[in-house]
Amino acid sequence: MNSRVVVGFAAVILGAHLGARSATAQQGVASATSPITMAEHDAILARRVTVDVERVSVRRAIDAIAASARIRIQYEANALSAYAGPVTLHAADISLGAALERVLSGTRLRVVVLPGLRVTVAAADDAESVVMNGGVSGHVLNATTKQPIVGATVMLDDSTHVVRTNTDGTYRFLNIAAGPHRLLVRSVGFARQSRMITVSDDQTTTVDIVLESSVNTLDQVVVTATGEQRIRELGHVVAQINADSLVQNAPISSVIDLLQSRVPGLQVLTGSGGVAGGNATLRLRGQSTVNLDPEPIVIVDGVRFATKNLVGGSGGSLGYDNRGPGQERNWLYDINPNDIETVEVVKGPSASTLYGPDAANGVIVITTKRPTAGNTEFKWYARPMANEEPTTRAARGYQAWGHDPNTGELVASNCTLVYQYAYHVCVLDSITVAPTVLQDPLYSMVSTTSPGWQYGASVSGGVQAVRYFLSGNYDSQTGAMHLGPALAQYLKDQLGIGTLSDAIRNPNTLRDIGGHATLSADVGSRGSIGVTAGYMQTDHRRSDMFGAINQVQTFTPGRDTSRVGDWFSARSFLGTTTESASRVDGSINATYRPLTWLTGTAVFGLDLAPSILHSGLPAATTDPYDLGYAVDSRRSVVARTMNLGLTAATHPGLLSFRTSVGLQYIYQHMDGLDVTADNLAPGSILVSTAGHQSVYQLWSETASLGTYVEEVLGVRDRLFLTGSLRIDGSTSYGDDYHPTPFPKVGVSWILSDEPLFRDIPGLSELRLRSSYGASSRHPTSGMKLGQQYGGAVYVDGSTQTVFLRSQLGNPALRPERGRETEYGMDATLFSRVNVGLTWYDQRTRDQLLYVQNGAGLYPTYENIGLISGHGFEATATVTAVNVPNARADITVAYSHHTDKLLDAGSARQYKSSYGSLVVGYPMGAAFATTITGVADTVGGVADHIVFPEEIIRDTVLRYRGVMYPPRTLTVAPTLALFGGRLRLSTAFDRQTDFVVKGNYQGCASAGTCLAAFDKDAPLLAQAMTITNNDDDFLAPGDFTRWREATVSVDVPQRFLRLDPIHLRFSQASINVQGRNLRLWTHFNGIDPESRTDNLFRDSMANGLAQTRVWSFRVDVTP
Amino acid sequence: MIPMLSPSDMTSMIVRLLTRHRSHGRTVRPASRRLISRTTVVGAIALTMGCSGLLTVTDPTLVQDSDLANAAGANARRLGVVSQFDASISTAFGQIALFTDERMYDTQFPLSVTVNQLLDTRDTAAFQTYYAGSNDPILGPLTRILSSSSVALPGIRADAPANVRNEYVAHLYALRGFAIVQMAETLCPGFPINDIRDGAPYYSMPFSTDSAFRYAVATLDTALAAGHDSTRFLNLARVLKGRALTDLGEWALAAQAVAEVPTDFTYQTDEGYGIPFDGSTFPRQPQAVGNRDGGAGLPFASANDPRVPSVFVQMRIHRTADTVSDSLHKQLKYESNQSPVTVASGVEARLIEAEAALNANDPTTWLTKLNELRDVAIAPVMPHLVDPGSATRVDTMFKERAFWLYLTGHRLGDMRRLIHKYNRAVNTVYPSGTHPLGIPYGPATSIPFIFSNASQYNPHITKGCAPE
Repeated sequence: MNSRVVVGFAAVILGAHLGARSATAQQGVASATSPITMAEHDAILARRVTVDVERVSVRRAIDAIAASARIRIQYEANALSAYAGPVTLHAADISLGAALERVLSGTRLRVVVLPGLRVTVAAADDAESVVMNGGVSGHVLNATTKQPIVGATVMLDDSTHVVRTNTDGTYRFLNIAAGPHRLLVRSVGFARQSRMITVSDDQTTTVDIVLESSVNTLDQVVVTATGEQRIRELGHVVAQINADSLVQNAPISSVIDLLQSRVPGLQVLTGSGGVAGGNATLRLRGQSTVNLDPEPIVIVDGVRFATKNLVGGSGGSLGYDNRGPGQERNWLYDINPNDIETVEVVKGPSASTLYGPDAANGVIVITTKRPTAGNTEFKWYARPMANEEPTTRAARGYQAWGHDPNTGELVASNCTLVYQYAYHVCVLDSITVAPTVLQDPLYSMVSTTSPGWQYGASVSGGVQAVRYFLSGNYDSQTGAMHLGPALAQYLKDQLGIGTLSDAIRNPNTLRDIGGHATLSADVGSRGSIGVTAGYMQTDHRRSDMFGAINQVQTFTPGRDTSRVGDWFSARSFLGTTTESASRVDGSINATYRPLTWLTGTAVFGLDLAPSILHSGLPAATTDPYDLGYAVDSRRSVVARTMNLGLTAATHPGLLSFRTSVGLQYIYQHMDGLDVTADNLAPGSILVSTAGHQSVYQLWSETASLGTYVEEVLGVRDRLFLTGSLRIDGSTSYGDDYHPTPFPKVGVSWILSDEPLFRDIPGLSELRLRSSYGASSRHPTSGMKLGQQYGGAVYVDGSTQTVFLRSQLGNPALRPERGRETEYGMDATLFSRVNVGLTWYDQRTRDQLLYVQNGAGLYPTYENIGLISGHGFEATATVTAVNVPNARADITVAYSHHTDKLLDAGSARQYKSSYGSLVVGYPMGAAFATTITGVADTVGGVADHIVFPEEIIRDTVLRYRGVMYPPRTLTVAPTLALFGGRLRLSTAFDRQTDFVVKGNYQGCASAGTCLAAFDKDAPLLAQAMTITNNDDDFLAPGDFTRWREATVSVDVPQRFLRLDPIHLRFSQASINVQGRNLRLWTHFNGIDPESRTDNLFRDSMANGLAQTRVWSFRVDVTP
Repeated sequence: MIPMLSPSDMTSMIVRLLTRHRSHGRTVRPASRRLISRTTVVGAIALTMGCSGLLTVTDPTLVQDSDLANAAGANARRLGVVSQFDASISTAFGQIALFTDERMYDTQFPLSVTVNQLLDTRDTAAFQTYYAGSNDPILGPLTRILSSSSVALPGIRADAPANVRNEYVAHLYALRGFAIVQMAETLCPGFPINDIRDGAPYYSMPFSTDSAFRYAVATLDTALAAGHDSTRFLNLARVLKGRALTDLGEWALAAQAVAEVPTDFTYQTDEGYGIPFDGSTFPRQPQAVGNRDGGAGLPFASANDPRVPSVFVQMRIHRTADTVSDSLHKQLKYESNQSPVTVASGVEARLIEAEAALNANDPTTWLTKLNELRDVAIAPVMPHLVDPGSATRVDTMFKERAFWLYLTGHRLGDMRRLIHKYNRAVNTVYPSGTHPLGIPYGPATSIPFIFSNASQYNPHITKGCAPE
């Protein structure tokens, strides 16, 4: 295209023929001084006009074109007077630019687009008199795949001019002064490229840039509370996950999968094993609070995202939303990972100071995909899955058969050694293998495979002025729980029904349907506004799965059901729990740059998350005393966010200043109502039909407001000093509390840019960093105001309303204050090795602990505790092979965290195997007694039968370890072949130094351990079955898991071109993915990673292994 | 000084700023500058609102004190205390019954140490250790009656309608008096009577048994003064005052206190509070009626007295190191663990009068009072007692009390009074020797308060039990 670029008075002047230019290159263009973008220029010249003039003057022709285009075209009559015409033009639906080109053809007139989108026709001589500049353009490509990189940042001369690459990877700078310039290109996941170029007058220089994949690059940009910042400026570490490409090329079904094993220091604890839509708990750098929410907060596009009903429950404590049986769904599942562009994990108070209250646990910053101008682009994916429950570690159970020596009656349960030899109520006849939930083909409760489907599509495009991104997804999964055929028949017989409902046959299902929309628009030349909206509808069935497993484990056809303790009930399988949740969130964000150095931002967000849970068991038709139950539980969570910020950035000489001030407002409200009912009408599980109902209501409302100021001083773009101050107020702070500022300081020093280090062979990048910061975690309203229980109870002779205080308020309540010091370094060696090392030290004081105040006096929460913690995190990425058609990388991530309760004030300390609070011990410490031996002496003979009185137990609760893994290691090799068109990646996880209650759920709780019946079993095993104490099953949970494996193939163009059914795909990729593929452990239970959760993290294994997921993903771009 | 704006003022200002139109005939500033200025002003207003309006929520939690500041709220507060009282009673009565000769401990499994076993064998040292680091099982629930009433009373006084205000106050003071009486009868001397005062914990000095009884009398006098128009709560306070004065050995004053209480008066806890006397939760482990427990115990089971109904059940049970078969008497006084428990009654009033007559050396009145109860307080009527003679009148008096007041929390006070007011030797009142579990009975005559708990927060509690 023979284009000429002319600039004058902050205008872009183009030859009229540019009007025919394709609209695909509307982005990625910048000029030195023009406030009008190339896209705007192109957009106005692309207007469609219809002109029908015959032998008129140029002036008349221009007027006709202007009328058709509905714009005003300015011109100087003198300039046009030389071209009287005649001009003839008969054109329908052509572009404004093309029409003008034809009219002005053969003249020395040119079209000028001025600020305000005014079109002027001027003499070329006048315009060219000020044009002595050139341009730069080119492509940015992935070195591995040779594919264009979309959205790469291209900077000219140290941020003086910045553009992003288009959908085809192109960029362009206009009106660049002739002479040498430094071109710098960077993109997330790639090593930056810097190159000196020379621009000639009135010419466009073409420079193509190829970026190599890389993990740690200092020029990556992260989203901070004050806006986008380069990593090199930060004194703390920020982990970044490039979700856009990762979701497509890794076995990721959810945000939980996206976060797991990718960030050192972030533990994603998926306790629910094979439950579809199950629970997940996040911990960043351990747990530094006892009674407040220990989870990192989540920010989506600048808006606070509620991850669970944290403010419910009793007292001032967290009140996890334990509604009904099964495992509660983590709300992060509400975010479709395919809509995410990046996830940034900000760890600890030193990094999260500016995010306000509760950021002391760290912050997960999610940025959804941004609209990109250009041709309308469709994408869709399909991901059929197979959820597979591993059976290799299934606990074998046994069943004893015997008879009563007095009556001769069959005893099909409890014919244990104690009953045989201590109580003499059973004589053993035989021992058979009991049906297990995993392995038995007939009585199985767990299917080996369950299907799942994920589908999604997106469309994006628009012009620079208005851009859009729309997506939708559908997710359907079935958990591993199914009834085996024999068990199903048994239930039919017992229940007297011909067909079991789907809810009975498949007690765990998950259906999600959602959509996400983003609309961005430029407002004038200096502002932009964006609107996002999301919707997710979830239907989750999660009946009492673990209860059902136990039922099956104790189930034996023909057993004596009259005995105490025999609690198998076919009817209990009729009980169902379903949750229907719909979530709506949206935000409006605006950016305005009134001056080149000043940016103002505003974000207003809303997150609405209502849900309804139904749980019920209909009344029995045969048993008049079995009247069933029903639960109707509703929650409504509202979070409102407002962020206002102003950032000024200047670069006087060798220094740079970045000053930010901001205001953040967060309002959170949770409203809950539980109605539990029994004595149901026949066939109904509606609470309204119940003969007896009880109501429990939850309510909490808090608001917080904070303001901050931050200054980043840069020296030669090598040394950055950061200082900030934040102050917060909250409705849950005590009345007597006077807000105090939370400071943050940081330093980042790019040593490799210093002259002394520039010439060190192999040293590409070296940075030292350190930061110190303080952050708060605000109490709940209940902690401040105290708590009163209310309800209708039978009292003083009748059912009446009562209110009773259960906890005193504390008007002097303060926030918990965390502070952290972090040190670290980042280095890139030989352009092949990226290393990041971080050490941190935390102290969280003013811990809100529960003080009993002595027997009978109401407890209060007081700021009396102190927790310390420290740890080390390391990441390393090594490019082992990098040849033209093959590249192999290996990434290693390691973290180690330890913490300790240093002071508990007057709070009562306690020790248990479910979580302890003991000064001198870590959070989540497990204490338990142990069986130290068996004195086989009762009766005067060593009969190898353990009686209860023979068990020697250590009566002191002793420390056994922590219940969450303090040490984690992830090793993830990747291999790209054939220019990146074939990619293989995998990841292995190792977690160590923690304890879990092991085989208890396997057989002990079900009473099917062989040692309970077999006098030849080891004495210790017998003792453990007799005491039936889950503490005895605490065992090291160390494990290594093959977490992920993926084979990805980009379908070659020659195959796409075959296209026998005219699908017209331009790109397609195919992935075969596996997750949780194998487990190596000495742990004696089913899966040390499948545990129930509570605040300290309960260590009880739950009996279902982590689901192995096989998936096949196809991504297509038409 | 930033002037504080009302939300409506601020709203209208924002609306004006955002909707201002260009003025004809004036120089109009560029749009960008207008936007800057408006953004700045709106931001400033938002900041101002942050100081005044944004940090306000209408309902920070479900129930606030202001929600209860009305007549219904006052009654709901009173009933909350009553429900607390009902719940507290069950625990205390169950523990007292085990510690005395009223109830026997039994177990399916040998040597499985439970608090019930420690109480039944009066192993008070192990009892202390068992509860170290946790709430006191007796002092805690009883103190909760005091603290809940202290929290409720200000609101009741302020918001209850005038026609019931004194009745409500009398009711709660009577319950407070009960809590103190029960503490004094049950716990060893030196225990604290902590409370809530002005919304904050109040930690008391240690109390002797008698000083606690006098505190109870004063509390009940407050109830009596307030409750002049409530017969039910007046009678409750009268019986409790008589009980405290009897414990003090001030029998004449005690009889005077209960004189107006009719014999058919009863004040009971409500149904549904889980009294621990019924074994329905586990049929193999009934709550066994004591039967000559440790030799000195009364024959509650074998006496076949209709006031202590029981049933003989035979079952396999493990009591010693070897498996043995044994049999037990399952109590039938409470039909279920939801049954109400009598706290105070006209029967107790007559018994107080009888004991007063006995100490006034008036055996005729004494015997008349006891036989009157046998005539009217149970159906069918029981045979009349005959005067056993001066040597055993006290025994008869306390046996009558034990059977009439079985499993109502009175027995430990009676046993302690036999020692302290009637100079009986401990081994003639308390079970002694070897418990059926093979463990010797301990020497304690009262239940200890949990020192580690009491001393953790109360700086006045520096010692455990004082000598009785």
